Amino acid sequence: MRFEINKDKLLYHLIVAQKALSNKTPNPALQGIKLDVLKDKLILTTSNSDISIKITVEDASLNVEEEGAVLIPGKYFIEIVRKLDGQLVQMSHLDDNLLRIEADHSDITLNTLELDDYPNIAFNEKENFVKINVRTLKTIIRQTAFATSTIENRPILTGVNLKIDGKKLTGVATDSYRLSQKTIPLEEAYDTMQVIVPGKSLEELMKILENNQDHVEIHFDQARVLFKYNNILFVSRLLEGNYPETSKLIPQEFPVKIKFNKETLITAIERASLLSSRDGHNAIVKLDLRADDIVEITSNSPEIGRVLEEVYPVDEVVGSPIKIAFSSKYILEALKVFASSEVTVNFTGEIRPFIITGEYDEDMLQLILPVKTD
Amino acid sequence: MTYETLKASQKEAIKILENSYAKKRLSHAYIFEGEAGTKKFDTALFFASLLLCSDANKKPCGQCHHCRRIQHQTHPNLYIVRPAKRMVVKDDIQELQKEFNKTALEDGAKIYIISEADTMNPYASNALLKFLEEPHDNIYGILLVKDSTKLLPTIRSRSQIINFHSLPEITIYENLIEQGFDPQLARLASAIHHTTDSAEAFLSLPNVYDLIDIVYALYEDLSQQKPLILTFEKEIFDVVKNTDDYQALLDIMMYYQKDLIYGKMNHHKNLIFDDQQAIMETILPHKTKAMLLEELQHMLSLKNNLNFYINERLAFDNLLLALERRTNHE
Repeated sequence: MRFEINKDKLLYHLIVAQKALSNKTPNPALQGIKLDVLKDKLILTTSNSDISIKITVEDASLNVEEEGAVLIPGKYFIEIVRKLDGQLVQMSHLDDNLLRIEADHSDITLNTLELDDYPNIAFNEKENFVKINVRTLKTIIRQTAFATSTIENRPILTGVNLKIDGKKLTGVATDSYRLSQKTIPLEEAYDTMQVIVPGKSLEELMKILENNQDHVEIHFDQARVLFKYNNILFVSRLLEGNYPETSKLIPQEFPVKIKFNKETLITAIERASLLSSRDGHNAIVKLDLRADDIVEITSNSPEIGRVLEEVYPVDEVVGSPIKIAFSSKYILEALKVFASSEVTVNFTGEIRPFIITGEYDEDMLQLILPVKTD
Repeated sequence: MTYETLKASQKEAIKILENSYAKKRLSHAYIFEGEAGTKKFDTALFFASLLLCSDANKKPCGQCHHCRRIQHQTHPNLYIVRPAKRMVVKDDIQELQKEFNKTALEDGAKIYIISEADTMNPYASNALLKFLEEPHDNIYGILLVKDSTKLLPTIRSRSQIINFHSLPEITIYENLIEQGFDPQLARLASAIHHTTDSAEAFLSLPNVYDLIDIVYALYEDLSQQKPLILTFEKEIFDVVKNTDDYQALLDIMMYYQKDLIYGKMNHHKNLIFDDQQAIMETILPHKTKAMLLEELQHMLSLKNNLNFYINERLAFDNLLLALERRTNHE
């Protein structure tokens, strides 16, 4: 194996590949970046077993003298390439387990890893794939993944349920105290399909997707989901099992509807959660719709003090006075994913879940379970 | 180890696995029960190869990419739990569950091996039980144990137990003699260990002679009524450094004690330490059979307790004090 490539181009792709690099793994081979050198392209593969990335690099500066494959210790390799001087970097295989890196005045040899121990990862593209806009995909991830569970008691809830039904793609995430759901229209109709993708995998995918007008192809499979984005293939393992039926949890009738300015509501709840004896993230705040249609947000911790915030709804209130208590963390996280500047909070009852919707956030809802207080 | 030599040494176990694979009647969980060195782990890898090997004609071929990675223990569909300290804890089982709640990185069966599964603490056992209660398709578990009765009955009832036979003591003894070991050492090693490999490993310990010397000196001092703790302060520190050393020391002591009990019963055949008879004769008048048995019991329970986090030095001193007891009529 022997080739030459522009150093910055190589580094750019290595940094993307690094996202799936594993630093703690029982299999040392996964600490490596697999480099396949073909006649006119390089293929970089990394995997931490949960997610795997395969990048095809084709560049004018690439000059392959001899094809080959090698497994390079990822951490060292990326740091070396990052620090190299000069435009071009030249790499060659010295013998079975030595890689030589030459650039400018540097001459580095690096022990390689055992290529044979590298997993045989399938990056299978399907004939039927879903094609969506990068921004749309990012939106659906941003608006759902945060609501996945972080505790492993019910592993299935650590994932986002992605469902395709005709011309709709729906993402649902819940940790059993709150639920996020976002539906987007697709250009074509597809067969019904559903997978549960670990929330962490989607968060890694977010970091790779840029803010542009490109498209992402989603290839669904029973065992894996593949995202194809330009020259990047991103595969995630799935969570096994049946996702709970969530549609029945969402109330349909809302006797009380209050419309708020989102920022006003956020700051009021943030201030109210300041004086909590529980750690700041998990403060319980109370919302009280008074008979004069003004909303009071209060929190009270006897040993610290009491906060009362008056919030004026931006529109006429529908329904009768209501008192409800909830976790400030859940409502703040939910409010922050709205693009709309005005949000409607829809209540069914004091001990029933309530949902938040926004005019400019079509087909998205955030559901939160209230907390019982005496 | 090649699969051929493995097949020769554990014929029956391999046969059971091959047959149930051929008849597609695999259990979701297996318990491989046998003494250390009876090739349980190698057989577990063999089983994984059987399930994943890509050679249709000769499974497992031991040559294909799947088989090679199974032997290197780097196959992504193979998950191995080894107790980090002295027991398998709940975290180990939870990591396992986390791994198996996701689909496999590569197609095909997923296999987990829990080595020393009989060291699972109750929390780990219950977590594993919960995992076994919901069998997933194409997931197979193998628990490697010395003693399957230490597992929860509910785990045993959900698994198929496969016995791994150890070699008879006399075969190990003969093998060791063939290797040129001293007969007395060979007798001791073959009594303590159940396979030729582990017996050889025992005799190759760098401090095995020192350990035997300590036991000799200990009983000699006992015969002369010297306080054992003071005498052995230094020796124990120099030679006995870790839990494994304590285990080996106790193993040797237990067989010395057994010889004493045989001596008390006037059963002078098959003694391991036959060169120690003079010292044994001076100890025996001061001990009743019940006392000797009780002392052996003490050693056994200490050996068992060494698996937990105890103060080894203190527990050992306690044993030495117990050994100093004599009958009252002198």
